[in-house]
This record gives sequence, structure tokens and C-alpha cells, in this order.
Amino acid sequence: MGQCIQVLVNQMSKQISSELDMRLRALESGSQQGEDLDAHGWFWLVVLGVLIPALLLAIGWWWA
Amino acid sequence: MTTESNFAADRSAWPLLLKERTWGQWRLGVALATAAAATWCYLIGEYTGYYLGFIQGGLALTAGSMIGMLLVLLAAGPTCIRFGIDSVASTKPQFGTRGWVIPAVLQWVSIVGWNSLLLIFFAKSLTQLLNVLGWLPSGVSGRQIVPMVTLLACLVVYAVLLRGAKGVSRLSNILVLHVFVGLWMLYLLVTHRWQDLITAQPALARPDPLWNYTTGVEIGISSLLAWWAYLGAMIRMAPHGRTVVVPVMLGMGAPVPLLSLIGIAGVLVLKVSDPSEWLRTVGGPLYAVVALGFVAAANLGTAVAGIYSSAVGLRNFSALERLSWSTVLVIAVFPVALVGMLIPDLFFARFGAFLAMIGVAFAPLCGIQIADYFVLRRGRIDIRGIFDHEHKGPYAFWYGVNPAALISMLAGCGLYVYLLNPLTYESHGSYRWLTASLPTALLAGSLFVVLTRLFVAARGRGDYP
Repeated sequence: MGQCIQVLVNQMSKQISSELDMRLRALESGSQQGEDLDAHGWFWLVVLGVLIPALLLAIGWWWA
Repeated sequence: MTTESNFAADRSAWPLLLKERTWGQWRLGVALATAAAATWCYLIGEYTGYYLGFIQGGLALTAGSMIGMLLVLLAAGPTCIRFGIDSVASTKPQFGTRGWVIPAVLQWVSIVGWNSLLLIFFAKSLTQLLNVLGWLPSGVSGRQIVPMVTLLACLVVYAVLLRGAKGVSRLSNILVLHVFVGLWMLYLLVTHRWQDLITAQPALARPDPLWNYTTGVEIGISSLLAWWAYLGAMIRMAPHGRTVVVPVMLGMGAPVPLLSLIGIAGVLVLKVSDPSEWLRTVGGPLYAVVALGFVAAANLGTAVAGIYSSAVGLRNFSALERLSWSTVLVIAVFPVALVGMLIPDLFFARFGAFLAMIGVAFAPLCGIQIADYFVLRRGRIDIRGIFDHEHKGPYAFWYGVNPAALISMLAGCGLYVYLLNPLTYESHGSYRWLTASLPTALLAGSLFVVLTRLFVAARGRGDYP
């Protein structure tokens, strides 16, 4: 019984390794990588994450 | 690749391939909004309402939330978007192939904490409603109801998540409607009690108005930094950086301050932030039932997203990598059920300290990740290195741990506690101008750059260019 479980675990490990390796190779080739932030993404990041909070902070500090 | 392996990919910590990353802008935004809009918003609003009035509180929380979201997205976002991995896996280039356990534990504690809080909140609201409607059997009190409801909610979350990311997405499509119910509740309170609202004085406001405002901003930043734990598992389902920014900033960053207004308004006017309690005051039992439905929908959606992220994070441990998805789910859900059943009151009462702990831990973590990706590596990540746990792997550092990350993390935590004591809210130094989270992230990131350049990269460790 113990041996069976060990064999099963080893088989699963092997499957996981080969599956992971296939994924890593696909990502390393670049064909399966997601697209990084582009100019459009950075624009919205700056507007929503920097400019609007800065404006709100300025209003709040002025109010305070 | 087999269909079966495609099916299982979203239930593992493996990197996802482009064809498996099927969430578009809208789907991601809905899932994130459903995850973000929960009753913690009332608690966040309540804490802000102790120091600021309605309008100022709303402004401070919005500014803080957007800044917090920006930090989280810049920290975990680039690596997760490019390689389809979760937040925990994205820390291996900084912390090492063993050191990543520290962010993993942070993620686990954060998600268990938040979700315990949400489910206890729901259970308490239900108990209260049953009491008002006279449906609570004699001799039965919240002490019995809260643990039972928490357990039931955990079982529902478990059942939904057996379907993996698909379960999260499908549930979000239904539960996102609760955001509009939340806005309706806000409209009710504002229209019924506007005059009281704008004249109400915050209970714990200090004589220094700038300190009060900065504290509102800090509450926003530290609350949103907690999204680091959730973000990677969600955005890895979307394939393009350009489609991620707006859903994250608006879907996840905006609902929190918006719905927190309900908590601010509640605590200012009626001295209670739980809408199921004050809606009864405003509109009777029917409104209270609607509010309870809202609380249930909101917290369930968030708990599902949270437990999913936690389970994916746990998959990074090689011992859990081989277990079935259902077993990993049990491991992720069990602590939440345990807190809800054994120590609900104690946990609920310590929320403020917990919220502060989140800021202490995640601010330096974000600073380190941002500095590493944008300053030191300039976007160069070895994806194989993230999953290579051999002694000579690129991110092995020393015995799998990067001391530079640990020292920077500790220094950041120390600075945070100096600037703002998370338990007493006693502050020092430049806190009233700079908040505590921002200088903490800056110090941790800067120190990490210096230590890495002087000691780590100079010894050829960490695969730095």
C-alpha cells in the first residue's frame, strides 16, 4: 500500500515537472508571455494613481 | 498540452499561458469590484469617520486608496501580468527560493484575517436581524448563531471554488449587483440626514486638522495595500497590461472609498457603521433585510476571491503542489472557519490593530518589489529561476534567502511603527505630512537597492544585470 502511494506520488511529481517545464519553455520563447504595460496603461496609471490623488491631497491639505 | 491540464492550470501556482488567460477588461473589472466591495468598507469608513467629516473623509480615503492601489499594481503587477503567476511567486526574485515563504505567510495571514472578519460581520448582521424580526428562538443568542453561520458560509465558498477561477468569475457576474445596492443605501442616508451629516463632528478628531486628514489618507493606503495578497491571482487571468490598469485602479481602487462613505456617514450620524443596523432606523425591517442581503452578497464575493488567491498562493509550497485542489481549498478555508467559530468577538474587537499590521507588512514589501523590478532588474526576470529551487538557481541567493530583502523589510517595519504606532495611533516625525506607508515603502525600496548593489550583486548573487 505504502509503495503504491509512493509510486503514485512520484508519477504525479513527474507529470507536474514535465507540465511546468513545457510552460516555462513556452514563456521563455516569448510567444506565451503577457504584454507588459504600454503607453496607454502607463497613461491611466499616472492619471488614476498619481494626478487624481495629488489633486485630492492638495484640496484636503488646503482645507485642513 | 492536454485539455485536462488546461482545466487545472488556474488551480495551480504554475504560470498560465496566453490561451488560458481569457479574462478581458470587463470580466476582470467585475471580478475585482466584487472582491473589493465588502463590508470592510464600513469598517474602513468607521475608522475614518472617527477623525474626519463626511466630505473630507471621502476625499482622504479616495486619495489614499488610489495611492495604495498604485503601489500594489507597480509591485506585483508587472511580473504577474507578463508571466501569469500569482503575487507570492512574484516575490521570489527579491526574497529568494526559500525566502518567499515570508510574503506567503503574510498573504495567508492577511487573507485569513480579512475573510474571518467579513464572515463574522455577516454572521453578526444576521443575528441582529433575526433578533429584530423576532425569529431568534428563546435561549439562542449570537454566541450560537455566529459560529454556525460562519461555518455555513465557509462551506458555500468551498463549493463555489471547486470550479477554480471559473467559479470566481461566475459568482462575480451575479454578486456585482450588490455594489449598486450599496450606492442606494448611501443615497438613502445622504438624502435623509444630509444636514446632520455635514454638521456632525468626528468623535476622535485631534486638534491638528492636518493630522486628521493624513490619518484618513493613511487608512486608505494601508487598507488597499492588503490587495497585494489578492491581486496577482486575479490579474494573471488577463493577458495584456493595457487591459489591466483601468479595471484594477477603478474596479478595485474606487469601490472601497465609495462604499466607505456609507461607514463614514453611519458613524458620524448614527454612531454605527453597520448598514443593516442603521437602515432599520431609517426605513424599518424591510430595509434591514435588503441591507443584510447586501452584506451577504458583498462578503461572499470577497471571501470567494480571497480564498481562491490564498489557495493559489499555498500551491507554491511544494508539499501542497501535489495535493488535490479540494484538499488545498480545505486548508485555505479551515482557519477562517476556526476563527469564526472559536474567537469571533475577540477577533472583531482587534480589527484596528489588524488593519495597521497590514500596512506595516505590505508597505515595505511593495517598496522592495518596485525597486527590484524597475530600478535593479529593469524588467529582466528569469521565469525559470522563479520555479528553480536548486542551490545554484538564479534566485537562490544564500541558502535560498536574500538577506537584503529581509533587512529592508525589517527596517521598513521599524520605520512604520516609529511614524505611526498601529495600536495607539501615536505618531512621530513627518507622519502628519507624509503618512506612514509612503516613507516606509520608500525606505525599504531604497535600502534594498543599496544593499543589493553593494553586497548581493557584487558577489554575483541574484542574477542582477
